[in-house]
Amino acid sequence: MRLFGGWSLCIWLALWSYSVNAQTSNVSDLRSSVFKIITISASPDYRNPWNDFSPSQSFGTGFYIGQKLILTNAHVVAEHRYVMVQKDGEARPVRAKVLFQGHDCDLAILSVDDAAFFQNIKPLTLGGVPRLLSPVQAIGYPVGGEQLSITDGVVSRMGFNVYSHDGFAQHFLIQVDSAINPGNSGGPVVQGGKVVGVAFQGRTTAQSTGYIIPTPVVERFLTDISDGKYDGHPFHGLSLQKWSMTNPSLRKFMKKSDVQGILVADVAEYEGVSKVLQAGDLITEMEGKAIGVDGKIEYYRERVDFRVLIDQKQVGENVSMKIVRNGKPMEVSFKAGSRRKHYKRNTVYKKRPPYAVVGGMVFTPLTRNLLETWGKSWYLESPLSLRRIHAYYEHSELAGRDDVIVYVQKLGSRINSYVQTPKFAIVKSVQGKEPKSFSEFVELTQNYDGKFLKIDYFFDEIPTFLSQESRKEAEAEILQSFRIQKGFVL
Amino acid sequence: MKNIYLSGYKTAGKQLMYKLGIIAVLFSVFISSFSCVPTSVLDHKNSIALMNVTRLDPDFEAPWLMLPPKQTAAFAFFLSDDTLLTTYKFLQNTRLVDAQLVGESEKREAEVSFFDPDVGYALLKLKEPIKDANPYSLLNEELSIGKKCTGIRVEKGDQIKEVELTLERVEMGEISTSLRRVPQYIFSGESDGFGLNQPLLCGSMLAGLIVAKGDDELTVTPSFLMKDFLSRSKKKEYIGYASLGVSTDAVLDKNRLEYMGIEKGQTGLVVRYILPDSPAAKHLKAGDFITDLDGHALDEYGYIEHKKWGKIKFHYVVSKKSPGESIKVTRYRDGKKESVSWELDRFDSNTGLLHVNSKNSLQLDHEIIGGMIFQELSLGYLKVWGKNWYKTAPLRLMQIFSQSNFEREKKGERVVVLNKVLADSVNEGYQDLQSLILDSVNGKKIQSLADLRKIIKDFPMLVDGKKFAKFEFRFLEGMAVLGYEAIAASEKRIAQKYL
Repeated sequence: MRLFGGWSLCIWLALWSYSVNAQTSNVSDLRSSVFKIITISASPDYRNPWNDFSPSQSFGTGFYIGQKLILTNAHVVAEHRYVMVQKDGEARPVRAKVLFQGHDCDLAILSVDDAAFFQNIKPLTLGGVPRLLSPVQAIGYPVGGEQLSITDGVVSRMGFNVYSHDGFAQHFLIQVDSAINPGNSGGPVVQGGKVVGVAFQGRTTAQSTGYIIPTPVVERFLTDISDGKYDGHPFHGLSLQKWSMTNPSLRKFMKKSDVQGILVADVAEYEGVSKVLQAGDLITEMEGKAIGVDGKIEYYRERVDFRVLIDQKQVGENVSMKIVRNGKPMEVSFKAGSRRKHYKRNTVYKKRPPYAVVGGMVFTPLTRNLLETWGKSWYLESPLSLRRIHAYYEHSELAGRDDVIVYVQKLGSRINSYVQTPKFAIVKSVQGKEPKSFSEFVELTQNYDGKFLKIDYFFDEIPTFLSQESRKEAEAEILQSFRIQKGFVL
Repeated sequence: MKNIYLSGYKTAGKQLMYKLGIIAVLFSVFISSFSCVPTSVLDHKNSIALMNVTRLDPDFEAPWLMLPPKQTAAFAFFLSDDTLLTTYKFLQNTRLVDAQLVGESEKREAEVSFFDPDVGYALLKLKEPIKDANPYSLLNEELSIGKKCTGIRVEKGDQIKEVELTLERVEMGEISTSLRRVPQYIFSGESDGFGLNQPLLCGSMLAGLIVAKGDDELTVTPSFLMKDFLSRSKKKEYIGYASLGVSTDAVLDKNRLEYMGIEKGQTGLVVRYILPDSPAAKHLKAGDFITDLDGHALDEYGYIEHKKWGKIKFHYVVSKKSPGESIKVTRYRDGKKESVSWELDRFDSNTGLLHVNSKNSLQLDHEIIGGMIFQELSLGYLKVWGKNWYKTAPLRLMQIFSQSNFEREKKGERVVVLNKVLADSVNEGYQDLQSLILDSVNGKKIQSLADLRKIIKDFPMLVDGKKFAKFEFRFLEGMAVLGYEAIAASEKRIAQKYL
């Protein structure tokens, strides 16, 4: 092939080598804006909720985004007691404070009081969404090393998947074939000198596979906290039924000839969605994008579950979509709402989980955290009654209650030595009154003055009969001998 | 070894001989006092037989298929020249049975002539009677604790060993083919080597059949139960056994007794569930405190006193009753004591939402519509998920299972499950659906396979003049629609491809 001649070739080579160098030197420039994050954290023991497990130290990465703000993952600083930040090449870390934690999207904002910390540090700029198969670089402090390291990778997949720190919420997610190591968490993943994602998850079953939080999710988070309060991702509330529209009978039945659109299997009872959508509706289009039979739309040049459009909104923003109901095309709209009050399936990160010690019996609201105390295979090992309420709460006897209250254990005392109620029974009523929330339950158990306090449980588990005679003294004794500071925490 | 001096025999040689003689006699006595002494095969030859069985069990996962034939064997004992009695469990879904006498190789054709899963016994009839059957006499009395009996251990087809066993205790156990409880003897002794249903004799009478073994322990189904079964089976109409229809909890909580207004020291059980539509439902409800059954006082765990066994669970009283017989119960409600009685219903393991056992049918009842396989939820289907099915079976099915068997609206109410979908163009888009609970079809609730068939036949949904079936599933699983024409067109294709 004839190029334009010798001189052109030289210029072409020079430009090419310059651009390569520029890329590498860009990344080196970025080093000073990427920090190591050291967190001392302590997790509560959900079976003994007044206690924490022993504190432990963990490492992660964060980076400067301007205005004295450092971006990292929520899981890097979750349940923190003390956080420090260390610059590349510096001898000592500096105390940092956590300003915002978005547990549902695994992002957090830190800052450092000392203004001098940010002198001569350039903020990293957020870029767009990288193309599939394009190269990226993860910058961070992977575990096992003291120094900043840069790992190369390639964008391999995009989807709408669960973020494991939350355990339930699904968001836009990018997979890279780059070893994302726990220490990399919270660090920037860059392309062309700009941040195209925040590294946050590796995969135990596959080597050299990592996940990054794409910039649209980061931007949504930053917009959310700009008013000083984090509202969280809205909850779409939709269960979908894939592929159904490929069925010819169904298409005839719905009087819709084209193989397009996705059926709604179930709508969560929650502000907004349940008023405008119902099971059996066919969703065909949202914000000008046609929805395929797989429920996906074109999103950043790939096919992604259309619910990402709802998930990316701010709470209170308008959501509209085109549907077909009983053969008639319609348009519906609603305001994106946050997670409803009722039972939530995600992992919680509270400093002190709610609990109540009633006559030595320990009660706590059901959370994914409690289920996870049964280990990695908790979805097989935890008690069936708790598992099925967790999975099918809306279709269970507990639908409508804000909290599912579980009897976790008995702290032995003369007041409860005859109690026959089995562990992990679920509270139905106290003295015949049904508590909608945990705080209501505590109130009912504290403010009763009959001879016996009776607690009934779901599935006809043996009720509890607590003698109220000298109950206060017995409870004080229990708190003292088991070293529990407070009898209840809401 | 003590020196035995014999008078009158002065010579040392003769003395030695007699000493040896005595030693030999003592030695043989010593030996024979051990449990295992081989006896003549002829003692039991025409009393018992090994039943060789070929079973064809249904495949719950693919209900139009059977699992590969299984060979199994267990003993039965002769009642007459051509009739034998044995346990029912190993005879489920039997296609072929033959009897083999001890010490013989000839296989004699037999068939199951009568059975009841709710007591766990079956009667077998030989095609051709044998000559000189030597049936055991069945012991009718209940044995006392400590009684010694002999287990007849048949090894390698013709070696018989008699093993001494001692009655340790009697328990109310669940028969594996039913939810009903019956008395079972627990004998202690050398348990190794016993095969299923080998006999236990007391003197020369049959006291029971050995049905299970543990560490130096054997579970025996008692002869008095078998005698009772035989007399019931001889009647013109077989009426089966009675059901109490009440599920209870032990009361160990003193506060609970005080709360219920029960006087101190009074023991009994609290009613947890009552079987809906049962006669018990007219007299008892959840929360009632019952203190005795037919005059037998209940302790806090539900045991009653028994003359020979010390104590036994109260189900013993019910186990002897027949449907139509009455039972008297003392109950406390709102602090007031009252005596109530009613006539008992027949026991039925399949009275709940779930099938527990099925009749001896060649095929599992199911309905295939457009390749979608529907069948009623059963214990057999849950067991498809393997040994740990209790943990690994889908939660939405376990949700149904864990609802007490007592929680159903009416008798015969079942749960219909979409097992899976046999892929065909008619069901494109639904081929991933599996183990879903069918809630309704064309807007009508489905509470049995019969309901499903009826709704499909009589209540199609019409859209633009065409008939459709709309299947709606429970627990967030959506729906499927199939056109009647498409279903009809697919039947032959699916049958050819899969059935």
